[in-house]
Amino acid sequence: MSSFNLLSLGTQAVRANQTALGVVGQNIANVNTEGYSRQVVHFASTIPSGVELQSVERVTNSYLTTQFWADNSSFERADIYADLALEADKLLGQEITNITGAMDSYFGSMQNAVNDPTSMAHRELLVAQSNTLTDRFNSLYGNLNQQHEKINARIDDSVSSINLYAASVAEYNNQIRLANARGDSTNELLDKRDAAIEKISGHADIQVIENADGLVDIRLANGQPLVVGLDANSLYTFSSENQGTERNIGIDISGTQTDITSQISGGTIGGVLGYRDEILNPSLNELGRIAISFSMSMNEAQQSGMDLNNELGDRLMADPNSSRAMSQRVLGNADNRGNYNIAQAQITDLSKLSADEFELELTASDEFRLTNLTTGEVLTQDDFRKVLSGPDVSDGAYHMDNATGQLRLEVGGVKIDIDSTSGFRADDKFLIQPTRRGAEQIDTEITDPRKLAFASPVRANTAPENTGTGALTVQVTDTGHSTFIDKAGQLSPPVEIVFSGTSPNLTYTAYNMTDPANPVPLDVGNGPISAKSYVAGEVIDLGGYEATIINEPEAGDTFSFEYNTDGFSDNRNALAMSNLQQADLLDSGSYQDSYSGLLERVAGKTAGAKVVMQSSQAVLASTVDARASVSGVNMDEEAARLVQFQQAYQASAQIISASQKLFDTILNI
Amino acid sequence: MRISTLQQYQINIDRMQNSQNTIGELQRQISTGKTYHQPSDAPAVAAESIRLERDLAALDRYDGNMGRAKNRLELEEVMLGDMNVRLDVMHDLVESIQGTLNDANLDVKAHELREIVASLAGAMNKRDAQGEYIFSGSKGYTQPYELNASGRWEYMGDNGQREIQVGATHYVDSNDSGQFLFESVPGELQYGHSGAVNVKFPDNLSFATDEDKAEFEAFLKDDVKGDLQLRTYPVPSGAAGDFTFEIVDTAGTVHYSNPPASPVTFPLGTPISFKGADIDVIAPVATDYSFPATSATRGGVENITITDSAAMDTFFADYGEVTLELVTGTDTYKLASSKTGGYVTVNGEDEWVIPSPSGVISEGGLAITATLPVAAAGGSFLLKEPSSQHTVTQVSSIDKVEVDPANLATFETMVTALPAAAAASLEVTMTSATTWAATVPGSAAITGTIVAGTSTELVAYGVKFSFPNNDQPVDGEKFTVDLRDSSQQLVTSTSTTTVDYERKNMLNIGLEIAEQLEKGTATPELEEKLNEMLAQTITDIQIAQDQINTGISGVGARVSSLEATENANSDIRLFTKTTLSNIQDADLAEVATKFKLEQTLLQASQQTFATTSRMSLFDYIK
Repeated sequence: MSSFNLLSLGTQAVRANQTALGVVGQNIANVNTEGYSRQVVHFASTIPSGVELQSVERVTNSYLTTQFWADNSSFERADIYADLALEADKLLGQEITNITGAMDSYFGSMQNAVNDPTSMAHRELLVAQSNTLTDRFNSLYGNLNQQHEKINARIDDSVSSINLYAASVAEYNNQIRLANARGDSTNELLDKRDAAIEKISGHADIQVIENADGLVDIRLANGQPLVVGLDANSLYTFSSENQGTERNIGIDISGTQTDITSQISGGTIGGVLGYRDEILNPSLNELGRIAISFSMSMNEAQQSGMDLNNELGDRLMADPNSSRAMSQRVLGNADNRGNYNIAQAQITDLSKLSADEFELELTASDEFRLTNLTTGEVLTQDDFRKVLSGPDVSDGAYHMDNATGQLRLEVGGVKIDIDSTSGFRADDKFLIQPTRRGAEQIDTEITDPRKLAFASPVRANTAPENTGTGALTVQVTDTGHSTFIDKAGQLSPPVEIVFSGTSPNLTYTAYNMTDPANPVPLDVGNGPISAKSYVAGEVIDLGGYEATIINEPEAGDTFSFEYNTDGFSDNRNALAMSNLQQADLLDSGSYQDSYSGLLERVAGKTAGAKVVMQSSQAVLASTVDARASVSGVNMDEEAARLVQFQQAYQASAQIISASQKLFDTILNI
Repeated sequence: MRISTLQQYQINIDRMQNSQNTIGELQRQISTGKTYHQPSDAPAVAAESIRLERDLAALDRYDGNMGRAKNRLELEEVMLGDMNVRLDVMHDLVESIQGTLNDANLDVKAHELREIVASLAGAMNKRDAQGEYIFSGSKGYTQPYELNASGRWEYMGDNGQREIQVGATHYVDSNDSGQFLFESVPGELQYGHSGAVNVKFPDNLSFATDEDKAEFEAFLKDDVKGDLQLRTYPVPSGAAGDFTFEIVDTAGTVHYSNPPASPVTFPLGTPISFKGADIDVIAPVATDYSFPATSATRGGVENITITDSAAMDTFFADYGEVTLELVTGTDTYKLASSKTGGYVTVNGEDEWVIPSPSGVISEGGLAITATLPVAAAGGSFLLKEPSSQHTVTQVSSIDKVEVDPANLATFETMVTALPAAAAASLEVTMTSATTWAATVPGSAAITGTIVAGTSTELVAYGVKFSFPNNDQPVDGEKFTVDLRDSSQQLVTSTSTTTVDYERKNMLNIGLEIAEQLEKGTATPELEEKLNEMLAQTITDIQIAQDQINTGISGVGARVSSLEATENANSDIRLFTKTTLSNIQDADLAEVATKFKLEQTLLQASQQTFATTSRMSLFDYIK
């Protein structure tokens, strides 16, 4: 071996170890750099002698990296979901914002009014409490609805982030391609590209496919290409067709735009969309259902009564079936081709009303399809009874006539009307949200406490001469009946029920007493009520009100009915209103039962979301750990390597020094 | 496993954060005393707590309600007790007068009585603290007793009672009306009249003497339930002009019956003597007769009722008058519209199946009952829009069935000819648009005609069927009038005499006796009258006091029931509170222990961090 060779060997070794020291330095310098993968050097001996730095390798595990992105998507989804859910849970639950407390106060003051129906102080308090309650509904709706704005902002942010990072991934792909061509190291570029992909994975769930040439493609979970080689496609947001408030997402692939809202399930976007569909919208719908049931039942009760002016009760709450409210429930698709002058939904039956949303699609000029968006159930016209005219439509029936442009169908306590001036066009769609805005629209309409109708408009008299034990109660069913409206402040006709015969053949006759000298049997449309067999507790329909007589009346016993003029101390109607607190008006029970149900559902989902968030956090942490354990920098390890390469470097320098000495020795001979 | 330096720090930080979170949560539990902070911390507990808190709120309300009810009832009790005392005074005063009738004193006594009446009236017109009258029933703003034009106290309230809720399903009446409490003393009998005109008190009912009247009224009081009816009818299978009658009370008890075997003829000549009364029955006139039942069928349609007025209005507005055609043999129907000139067609269909087995067609807001199967009928029927009052008159164009005054004798002869004891009805069938045939058991069938467009009635066997000029019956229409139904109720003339007792209150009783006292005892008649009235007044005061005592004991029973409920409610409250506390209150001993443990863990983490952060190989490379 020549000394020249020795020199060259020493030089090689010094260079190699110097580079290795540089790599150690790079590792130490980046100990706190997130996404940095430690690098190791590989030496190789050269032939015939010497050493060369074969490669500086980036220590990564591509399986762990992919896993990390997936876990990151899941975690970000769970995190934002749980955050939003906790907020809703708090709003629905806490004393100062929830409905239950305000409703307890409302019914508390209602009880005071029951006790003292003439007290103006109690009446005023009830009006005030009613306002508090409806304000509470409004503000709870407002606060929950605010989350829509938050969600929209998150979606906007995420979409712009995705677009930004997708563009950088495409750019890194390009640089990596160039570096590869030049034979330069791509370690730092790869780290940066991975970091950009990580950012995207935080916003949406993605699939990353690495090509043979080292470039990556990114597809959204449904397969839509976000990055293909050197090109990035961009996402865009738009407000959904039917509602201005909800932000949706689309992808623009060379000018073709596709709605992918329902296909993103991971990342921040997946989290906010999931929350919107699973908690926020159902909660708003359910809250609206409670508000509507409250307004409708309170109005019905109030309208069955008589106020301090001897007048029949007016509405207590704003009418949930006002034309404005009804038309806000049906939203026509922006792409509809037909001309629709009426599109509205009327709530007809609280006991059947659900918090579901529907899509009505006209499949032909005389056919339709109704999809329950909440349950997924699909109904076509064949699932409904067909009736001859619109007014005949009752639950489970429809009337559709392309010639007159009328479509009416009733399902689940909701009557849907679509009127077209152009005839029906196939593929036209309507989104039907029967209860979505109920809690926004609820409002106390009454302002004058005198107008609270606490008295029943019917005075029921049990004649003092009666010898039997018959006891009478009266239930007002319809103050719109001619009995009440033909003559204000009177019952038309006045009615008297007279018993005859003896038990068990006791019968009764209801007389129309318009001419007291010549009473005639009353006929309210079901034939004269004459000599009917008496059954204790049976309901007797007297036209707009019903009488129920119990116990044992005797022949000659009379029960008479007249307008309850000046009956201001009467509290029968107030009792009926107060009893609505316990009434099972909805299939989920009373107002407050339904609210507890809502609260329990949201709380349950929130608790679930917390668990998912914690577990996905733990999964992410363990993946991060695993990845860090492979790719992270350990200072002690680097210290050892530093010593190792430093020593090798010093030794190599000694080789050069030895070679110089050898050379000098020879020269000096 | 290889640990990176960054990881080493991160692990320490995570551990300390977790501990701090737990400590924060435990601190919150200690400071609030509740196991949960917001519903999602314990969804089931949160919902259950809300329910229990609602129960507690309701119990508090019931307590408040009970207090209010008790106040009202106790005030009533006090007032009634007070009145009882005044009535005692009145009673003693009247009794004292009885013994010593002396003109000089009577005016003074009368004055005293008037004073008592005035103070009683004051008590009965008492208001509560809210300004509501206690005894006016539901008319809280109406003074219950006012002096009327004839100087008598008149009750202006009603008999309303206010129920107060004291339990989930438990209500208590918190007042009694003046009508119940004070209008209790029976006075004179009051006669009224309704129905046929052939017996009308006092026109045809008379009494020879006061004793006879007393006998009749005693009969009414003791034996009659409700009202007294006189029923008069021609005797079936009898001779022309034969009538029989019976006197029946509302309970159906027959008090007098003229055997059909010995019928009467009108005029009677001698009034019937009955329980002291002389009743002069006169012959029924045409309008007196009422039929047990009338019915009509037409074109296979039995009945129509309105189910939805709004729907009906739209239906007739769209299609005008509609002919319902029942398609023979197939039990389907079609609707021919007078407005469009064709059949009503919806989505290409113009024929619909009649729902079986009900046979009820629901169309245009109407429920139309058809005879099923329609094979036999196969008719058609014109649906006309009902009148503005929304009453259905389409089944028959007949709007009135009555006995024709001009043919009263024919009618009575026909009834007389009815076979004995069997359901019988008169049937009129239109055999064409203008001819009709009628049958009735016991008489020969007859036929007749109407003039298209002008006839407004047809008369068969003295029974007049009226129809509006432009709404004549059509071919095939059939009217049935029951003359005697299955329960042997025959076409009759019924006259009802109503009998009610006047109710007097103690105020007027006091006023009346005071007035009598003021008249003095100058004549024997006056003295006798006064004595009579004094005796009656003592009885009346007792009746009035009995009623007030009934009121007092009712109030007492309600108050004690309230107290029992109060106790029950307080038990329930305690139970509810315990349950609520069990599910939502934090166990402080347990929380404190956990807190201590977590604190130790945090300290350990901190120490570990301090130690590991000091360990670095670089420190040893010199």
